[in-house]
Amino acid sequence: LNEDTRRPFPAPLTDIKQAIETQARVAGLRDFDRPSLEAIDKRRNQLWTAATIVTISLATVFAFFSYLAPQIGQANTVDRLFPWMRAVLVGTVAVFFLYLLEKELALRKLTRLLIDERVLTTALSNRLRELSTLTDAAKAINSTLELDDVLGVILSAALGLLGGTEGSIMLVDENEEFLETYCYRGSSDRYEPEPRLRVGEGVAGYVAQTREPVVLSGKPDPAKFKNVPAKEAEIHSAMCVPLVSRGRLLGVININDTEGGRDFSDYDLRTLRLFADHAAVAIANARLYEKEKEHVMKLLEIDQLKSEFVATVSHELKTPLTSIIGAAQTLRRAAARLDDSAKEEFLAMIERQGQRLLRLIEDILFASKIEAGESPLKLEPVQVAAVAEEAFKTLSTRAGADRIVLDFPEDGLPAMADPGALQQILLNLLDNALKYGGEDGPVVVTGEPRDDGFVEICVSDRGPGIAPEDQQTIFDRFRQVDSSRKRRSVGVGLGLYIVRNLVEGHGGKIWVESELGQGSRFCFTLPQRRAQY
Amino acid sequence: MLKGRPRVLIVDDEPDILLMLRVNFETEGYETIFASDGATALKRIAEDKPDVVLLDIMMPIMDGWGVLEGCRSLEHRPAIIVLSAKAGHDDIERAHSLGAYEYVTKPFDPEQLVKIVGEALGRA
Repeated sequence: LNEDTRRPFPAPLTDIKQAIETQARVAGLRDFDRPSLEAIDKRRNQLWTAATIVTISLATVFAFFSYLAPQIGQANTVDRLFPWMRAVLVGTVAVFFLYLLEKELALRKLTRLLIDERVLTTALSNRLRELSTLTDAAKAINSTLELDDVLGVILSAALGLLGGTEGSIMLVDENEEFLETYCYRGSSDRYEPEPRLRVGEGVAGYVAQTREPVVLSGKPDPAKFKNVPAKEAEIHSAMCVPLVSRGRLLGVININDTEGGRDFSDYDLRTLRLFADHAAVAIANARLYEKEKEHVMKLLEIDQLKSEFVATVSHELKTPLTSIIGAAQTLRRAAARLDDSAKEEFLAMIERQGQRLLRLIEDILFASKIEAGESPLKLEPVQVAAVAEEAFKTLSTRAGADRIVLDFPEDGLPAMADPGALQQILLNLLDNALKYGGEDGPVVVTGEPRDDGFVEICVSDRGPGIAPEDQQTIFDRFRQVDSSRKRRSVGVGLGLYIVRNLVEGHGGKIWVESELGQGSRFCFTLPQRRAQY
Repeated sequence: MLKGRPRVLIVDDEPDILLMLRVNFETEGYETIFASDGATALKRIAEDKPDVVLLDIMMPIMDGWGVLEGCRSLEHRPAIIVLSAKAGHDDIERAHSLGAYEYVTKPFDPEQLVKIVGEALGRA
């Protein structure tokens, strides 16, 4: 085993090297341990030169004895000597040509062996290069999980190893309808990547549809590939391999040659498939990672919302407590210096703020019930106008309540609603309008039936309004409009979230129409009263 | 005090807090004026030149930070005492860096607040 591992090359190549040495010795090469094709040629020339010289010499000798000897009167001598000479000459010639034959055969074998060796060595070094490139690609996959980076590395590696003027990785959309270029590498700036391709069209589309790799030599055949885009028609030779992970098509990888410098073989295709496998794994991993990241971000956001909730709630609780504690402490310490009406006012304040605190706590509990999905609504026929009147009465002691204007149709706007929930909706909206809807100007509540089986109720104010970017999030849980933007600041955190949930619990919708400086209009819909009531 | 009764501007969007503070400061011999948002507060400061401002932070239209910033350039600057339900270090530091005399967290003891206002006036 030790001896085996010490061998620099696998056994067949070593065998070839030994055979080469033997044949070179037989062929009579001087540098028999490192023969080359040039040395073989040289040796062959040597041998042919020798053969030519020998042939010419023999012909001369024969000519001399056959034609010259009789003329100079030596025919008898020649006749006597000739049989002997002929035998010797034929023998020599035979031996010489056998010698030549042996050398020639050895040279031929040697040539073949040398070619074999060269092919094997080239294949080995190619394989090594391929392995190291693939290892680099694998390393890149492990070192980074950003899909762009990974696919870029894989594509560059494949392009570098296989040659070709450009390469691209296209990913398929969820419905496997379109391929979109995700990553492009090109050594020629004449070409731009085809940005989008319908599955089934062109070479890449064909591969995506059939999941069958394609090696292209020459321009794509229009009989096989439908609607070949102009860019693909420029291709001189190309390879395209599908990217598949767990039976799902992810996309394709293309390597093209647009300049005619490279023809791809099945061997190249095999290599590209290895890259495709890596790319598929990378895409699958990256998608998993993205999903995980999204999940974590969501959790972080929930966490953030919880912190915001705690901050909002504690602020909301501290505000009434400031009045309550302040009033109580003043009454206890400075009662002697307060007149009766001030004392009365402070007691009323404690009661009022206590009630507010209670409502706030109920709101928080209610919000958590909504969160947990435990707040069943009992829909019954109601007159929206009557419920609005109730809400108005509840608010009548509040500063600015005299600005509230109720404007309902004469029938009182019949609807299907949970009366308690509807009152809470109106109270919250009116409370907000009084608090944030400016110092003066009316707060108008309107209602009217719509054509789609719902009634629409709106609360409008003439306040500073809400910026468009805040109108989307204002109904989210505990979301407050950023106070640094100097508009609506506090207190809307819980109220509008509850309102939205109550409205949606009725099957209705809520929205806000507002322009900065022009006031706000909060509208919601409730189902109309059904015919049988 | 040269002009007799010291003048306190109370800025808060909660009417009950305004009322509670008004009674406390008036029984202590202060003159009180009010604002329920930042913009009005800046106007009062410029026109009525109070000696002390009790300033809430979270208010509509313009918050307390805006008022603090608006006061930085004033020549005759009143002592500003911030009253806020937020008790974060960042907020306290921010208030001081904007020139607030003191940062009092809600809920507070009105008697304590009267004392702090007295100190602020004594120092000024």
